[in-house]
Amino acid sequence: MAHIPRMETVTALASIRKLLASYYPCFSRSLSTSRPFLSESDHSHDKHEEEEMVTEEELKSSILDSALNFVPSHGWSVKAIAKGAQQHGYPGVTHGLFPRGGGDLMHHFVRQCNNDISKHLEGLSKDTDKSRNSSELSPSILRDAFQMRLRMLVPYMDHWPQAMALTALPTNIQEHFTNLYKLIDDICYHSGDRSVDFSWYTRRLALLGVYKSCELHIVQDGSHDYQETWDFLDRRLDDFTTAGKVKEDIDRFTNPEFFSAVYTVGRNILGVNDQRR
Amino acid sequence: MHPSLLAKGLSRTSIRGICQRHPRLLAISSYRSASSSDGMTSDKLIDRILRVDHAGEVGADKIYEGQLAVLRNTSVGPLIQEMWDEEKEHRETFEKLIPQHRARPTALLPLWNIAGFTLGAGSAIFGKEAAMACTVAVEEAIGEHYNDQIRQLIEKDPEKHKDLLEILKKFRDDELHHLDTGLENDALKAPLYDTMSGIIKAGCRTAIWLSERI
Repeated sequence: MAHIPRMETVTALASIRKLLASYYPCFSRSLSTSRPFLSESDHSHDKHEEEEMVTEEELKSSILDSALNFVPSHGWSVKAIAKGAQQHGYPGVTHGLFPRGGGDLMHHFVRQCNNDISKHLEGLSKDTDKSRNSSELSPSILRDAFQMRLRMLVPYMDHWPQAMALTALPTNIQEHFTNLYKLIDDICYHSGDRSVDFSWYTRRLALLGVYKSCELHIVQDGSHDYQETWDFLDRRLDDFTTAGKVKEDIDRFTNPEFFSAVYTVGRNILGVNDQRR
Repeated sequence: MHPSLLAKGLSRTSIRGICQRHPRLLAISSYRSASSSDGMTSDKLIDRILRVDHAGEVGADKIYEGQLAVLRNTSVGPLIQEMWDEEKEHRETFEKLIPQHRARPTALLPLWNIAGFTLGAGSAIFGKEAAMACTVAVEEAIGEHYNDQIRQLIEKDPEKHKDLLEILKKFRDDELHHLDTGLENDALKAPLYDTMSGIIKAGCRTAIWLSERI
């Protein structure tokens, strides 16, 4: 089953290449991932003159950036990408460069948001104290990071449920989880987590729960400036911090010395430890 | 299989693909290595190396703890304590390196905690020689494994990974020193040495393979 999308991509790309070749002769060369190609305005000029080289990755990225402008009107769909391509002067069929259609657009957007958050967090931790104890995560950094990330969804809020539905598609699931993992890992690390035991996993799972529940809340929130969502976020982060403290308390009392102390006290109470009975 | 089908269907790339998806096949067909670094970026390789080394040191820490719990008051008690202290130092080094490189610790840590202690205590119950034999088997597997990692890092880029390479080389030498200590203390006199050694080494290789991925 995994081969079928690839065949479709290959035939789609081949037909697009033929179509583009008839409009723009520069497309008759094969497009490889990072080989630069000439933009159509320079094709007829002498090679020694200045050429505007654009790689395929940059081209795709700029088309998707323009496509984001059309999401409020056309949703996370192939139509938005086609409009974005047209804005750059390419024909609408250039959306064939993106086999997952709306999924590719959504992933591009999510990756961009996550990169912005990472940069913001890295800037923050340069200012704060580096020797942070791994048993506390800074609640203020957590709250700010989550709020900032959720606010990035605000311009696309009307169609965000559609994006969330797209993440359930088999072609999108893997990248969805990769992006989520990177986001939660960055937020956890930069708010002070330096754990190297199983709590590395429990903390990230808990924060993932917080993020997902807030995302679900914000898409149906009608309050002014999403104030109810920020209150919801605060309550979830309080739960997270409390759970961490409870775990610490439990850990303090589940060690061998404590149990052997309990055992000895029990024996003393029963009089078993007395030398003379 | 019909020769023409074979030619059409099984290309060299797909056989390599099968071997990459099933590293055990590759391991059996080539030299016995628990790890393979084909097609991995430097970051992913370091992530994997730190994860599995940390898991190994946690395991070793627990093994010595288990052995000491049984053999604390015997003649080898102080020796085991000394080896345990060195393992604790190794573990602390990796616990510092993991956040530094944003690596992920293994999810099987609780399992290795229990398994290590059980192995240590279980081998010590059969006597000092058995405990030393267990040490020898584990240190052999770990020494082989550190050598594989050093080889992988050198293949990738010895200059870039200089610090990590130095750490790995030092730890490998420490582990081999423990191996020699074990041999000096009558490890080979343990009952059923070959069987026990084989089982423990196979267990270590499985643990290494699992920790690299999980």
